[in-house]
Amino acid sequence: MSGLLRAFARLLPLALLTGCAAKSPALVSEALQPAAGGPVTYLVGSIGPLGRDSAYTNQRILLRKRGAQDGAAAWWGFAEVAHTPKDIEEVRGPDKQALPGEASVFVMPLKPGDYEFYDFQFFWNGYNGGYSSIRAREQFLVPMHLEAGKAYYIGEFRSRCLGLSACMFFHGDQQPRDEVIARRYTPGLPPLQALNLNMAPAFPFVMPLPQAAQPAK
Amino acid sequence: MKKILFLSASLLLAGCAGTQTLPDPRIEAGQDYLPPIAVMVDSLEHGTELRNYLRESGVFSKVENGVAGEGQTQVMVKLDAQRKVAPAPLLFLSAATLFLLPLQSDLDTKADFTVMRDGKVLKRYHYENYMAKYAWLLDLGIPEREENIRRVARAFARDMQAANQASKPLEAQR
Repeated sequence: MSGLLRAFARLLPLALLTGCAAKSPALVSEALQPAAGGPVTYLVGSIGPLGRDSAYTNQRILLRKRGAQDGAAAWWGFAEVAHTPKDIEEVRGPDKQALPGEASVFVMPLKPGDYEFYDFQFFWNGYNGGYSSIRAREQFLVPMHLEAGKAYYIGEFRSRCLGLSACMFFHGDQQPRDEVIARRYTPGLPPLQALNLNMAPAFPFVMPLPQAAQPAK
Repeated sequence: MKKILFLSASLLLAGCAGTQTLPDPRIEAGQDYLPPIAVMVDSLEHGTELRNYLRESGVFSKVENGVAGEGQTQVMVKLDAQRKVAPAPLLFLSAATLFLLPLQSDLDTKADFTVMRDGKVLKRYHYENYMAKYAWLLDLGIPEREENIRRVARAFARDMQAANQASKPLEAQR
């Protein structure tokens, strides 16, 4: 019994430390994970709330292999036990006194092939165990072809919400900033090339970042 | 006695797998996307679900909800998905056992797809899929019900892809 307690006492700090560590903002289902030594392609971008409105909650953009249910997601989370790295923290917009928005840079290793960006999700854990979530009722299709040995920049996805009923992402280009952070996470990352996706099918859930919300140069 | 208990527990924990009469359609990968389609479904419950499964098939470049524009393909779907549930006395009996007694929870789907362009009917497709399932407290059979509609959508996507590959332009029926 005392041995068990001793083992528990040793493991507890380790468990607490790993529990508090930031989680990877890239989630890839097993079927899409590249095999060891096999061909790999990288999808790089950033995701997070633009400010401290209702969008300051768990959120993710969803991708899937074309024609399959196998999926991958880039997510941002802020909960104490499941948060993603605070890679970017800045105030956007005219109110410089506002609390800063945050974002995480993701580097998603995938098997090469055809993929689709098809949906997003915001979810809130309310008080008393309440839970609410929103996503697109009618999904959309933004196709992309990812080749082996290449790294693609999908852009930054910064969210805004009106209450808990209407949320959307602003899509912008911050490749130089995100690339520096991405290379810190994955040193051997191939040269990053912009995907230049046509996000029109994802309207109104994904819209171009307005000029007023561009970061100050 | 232990064996019987173990077998009963495994059966309850594993649930009763649902069966579908329509095999999972094989869609050829690597083909070009087909032009956009506009899909109207006469089912409030399953309309969005069906369109999302058509999007998931990876066959169409765009699946819109509503009326097609000029020259665009319109698909009208008559979807009849009937739940077949156990008779009331069995339902009460199951409730009395806190839903540990499995209950029939089947889904019988019949779907008619009419492909049109500029008001002319080009082709009609008919699919049937019967999902048989015994559901209980910890296994309500929701994934099986979703799979039932998904297979119907994928069967239509496969047939549209095959019609396109056969290079037989869909012509108006006389």
